[in-house]
Amino acid sequence: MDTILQASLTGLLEVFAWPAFGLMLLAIVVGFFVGIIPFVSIPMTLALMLPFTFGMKPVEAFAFLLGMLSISIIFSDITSIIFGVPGEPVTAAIILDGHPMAKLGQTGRALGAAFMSSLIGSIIGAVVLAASVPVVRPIALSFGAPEFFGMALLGILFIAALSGGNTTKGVLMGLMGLMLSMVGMDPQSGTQRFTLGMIELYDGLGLIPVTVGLFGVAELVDLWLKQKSIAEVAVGRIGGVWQGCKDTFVHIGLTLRCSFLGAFLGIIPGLGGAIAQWLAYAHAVQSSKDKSQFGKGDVRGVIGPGATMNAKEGGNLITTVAFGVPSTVTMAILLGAFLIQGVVPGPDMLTKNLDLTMSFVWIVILSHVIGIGLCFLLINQMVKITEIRSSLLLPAILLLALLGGFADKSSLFDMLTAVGAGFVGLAMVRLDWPRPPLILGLVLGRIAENNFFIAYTRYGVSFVLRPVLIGIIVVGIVLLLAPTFQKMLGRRAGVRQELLLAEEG
Amino acid sequence: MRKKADLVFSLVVLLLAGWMVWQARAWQLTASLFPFTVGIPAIALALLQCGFALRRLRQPEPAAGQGQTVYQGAAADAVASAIESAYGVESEAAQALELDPAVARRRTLEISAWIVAFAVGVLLLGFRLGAFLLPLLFLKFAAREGWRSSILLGLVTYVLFYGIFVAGLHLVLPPGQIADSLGLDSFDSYAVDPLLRLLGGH
Repeated sequence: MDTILQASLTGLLEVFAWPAFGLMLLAIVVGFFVGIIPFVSIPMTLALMLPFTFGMKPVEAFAFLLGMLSISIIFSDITSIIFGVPGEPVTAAIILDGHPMAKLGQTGRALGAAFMSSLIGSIIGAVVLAASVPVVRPIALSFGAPEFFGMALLGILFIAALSGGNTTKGVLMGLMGLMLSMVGMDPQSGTQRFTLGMIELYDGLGLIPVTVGLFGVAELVDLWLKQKSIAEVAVGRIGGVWQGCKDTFVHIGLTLRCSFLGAFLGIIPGLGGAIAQWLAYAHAVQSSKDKSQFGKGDVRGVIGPGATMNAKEGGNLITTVAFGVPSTVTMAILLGAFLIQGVVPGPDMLTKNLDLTMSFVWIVILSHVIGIGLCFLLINQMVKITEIRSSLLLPAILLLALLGGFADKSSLFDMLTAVGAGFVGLAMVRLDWPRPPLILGLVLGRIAENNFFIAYTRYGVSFVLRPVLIGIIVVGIVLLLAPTFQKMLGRRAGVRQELLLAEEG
Repeated sequence: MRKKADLVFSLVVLLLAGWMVWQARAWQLTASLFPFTVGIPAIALALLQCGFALRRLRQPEPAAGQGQTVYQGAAADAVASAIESAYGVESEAAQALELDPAVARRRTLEISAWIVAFAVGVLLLGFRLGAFLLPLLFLKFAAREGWRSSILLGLVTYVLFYGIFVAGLHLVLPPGQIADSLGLDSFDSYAVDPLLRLLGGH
């Protein structure tokens, strides 16, 4: 326990050190733009910011990336409540009651409730992350190369199984991501693999250009489709924010329950924020005696999803940090940042790099406290940004994407790779091929191959018979087959219903 | 059209996986073990996916409202909507705006052409001059802004770009093929550097 407290203190001091703290403040500003402008998505921005973390120390890089990631959800609540348009897909549930409240002239109250519940949720999520270290550490330390190889595959399967209902495409993209990670020099034998004799590929296919392309360039098309500003009319002065804060404490039981729900859901890989918010909303409705006002402007419909969505990040980080298994696409991209920083997720993050892990806890808490403080003070000025048209932002974002591709290795080839990956990403979106498993395969490829090689060298083929690995494989198979069984059961229930109706007829 | 494109994409994935496994056969065991372990299941799945795509291609188009996935229960519904919104199965922007498919297609082609134009522009002019000129051209001709606001926003982009990446992060950016072939530095530097020296009092 002493080690954890010591690491917490070190982590806190590292976050407050310069330039990490300054970068976190910058991240809050970037997160504000990302959150408040719909169609500028979190994964896209995270991908665009990834190249600029080169040269930063790990704490600085994560103060920037994690600070931005955790804060953008709060800011996206603003557009969800005021305009009924989610700044991010993960804040759609808050519209159900937040926007009707705005229509009833209670915009400030709804925003106040969203901000305060988000703050409480984020603190609980971060505390759960810190508290999970003594629980998760013995599990992670008991894992060897075969288990970590299994966990890498399981991570890809989790993301793939939830990829738009098309598991085959999801798994296939995960495998292709693993294949693409092998481009370049084989670390064991020095053989050049899949390089086509091109010197630019000797170091491998750049993770950053591919990520920037798949999630940055491809999203520009959607940005171009939306050519107007989100605010069709000017927003009036917002008041009553403190009333919303008080509401959060009036319903503190709901706030706490939804916060713990979020932290728990975040731990489960594959259960993204878009699902968690609806479960939180459902819980808020179910646990209320008077349900009549839900959907018409009940503040509890704002508090529940607000708390859950911000608690979830802490939970998400647990599996990402301890096992290298990201729960969401944003965590998959963040995992790329680990590799850029030369930090390997796994036992080291709970022992050698524990202070870095604990710094995550502080980054999540501090970015929320500062971000929400700014929201309270500057909300009336902040909403003015919604009057900007997306078409005005596009050239700057496109330049940033191209520079992001280039900056990794100062290579114009990588810039063109980003453009190529962008068009592949666009085709994938249009044809329902999921992108997250591909990027996750690319991120986890080297770790998976390294662990696979060690396991094979040490145990031979029999490494697949290790009990934990068998357990992981079984979980993977169940996960893959679950949607098929669900469909079959659903179809059978439908047929039975039709027969009953026919008999009655 | 979409079904055909899906089949073509599946075939491309199959060919890529097949080529990778074929390449791996020539390497020593340590280098080829993982490509085989991953590549062979990838080929099997790609074949399966091609089969699915082919079957869908032969099926008649469903009438409006038919042929859509039926999700059972609220939880499954939430999962489905979550996946679609989180992973961008369909373009959210297009759905939210309910754009005419022809307009969506035209705008997609427009922006695709601009993405290529920006990449070519950066190759020829470099990032620094490109940071002014390319946004200006985009805003004037694609976003149909006036000359004054296009120039102003182009300048704002340039100043931010220069301030953050050149002056702040000290990134060494290529001057572009044109300046390079003439043996010159980035074109903008001949105007900006003396100005900065003047402002700096040197």
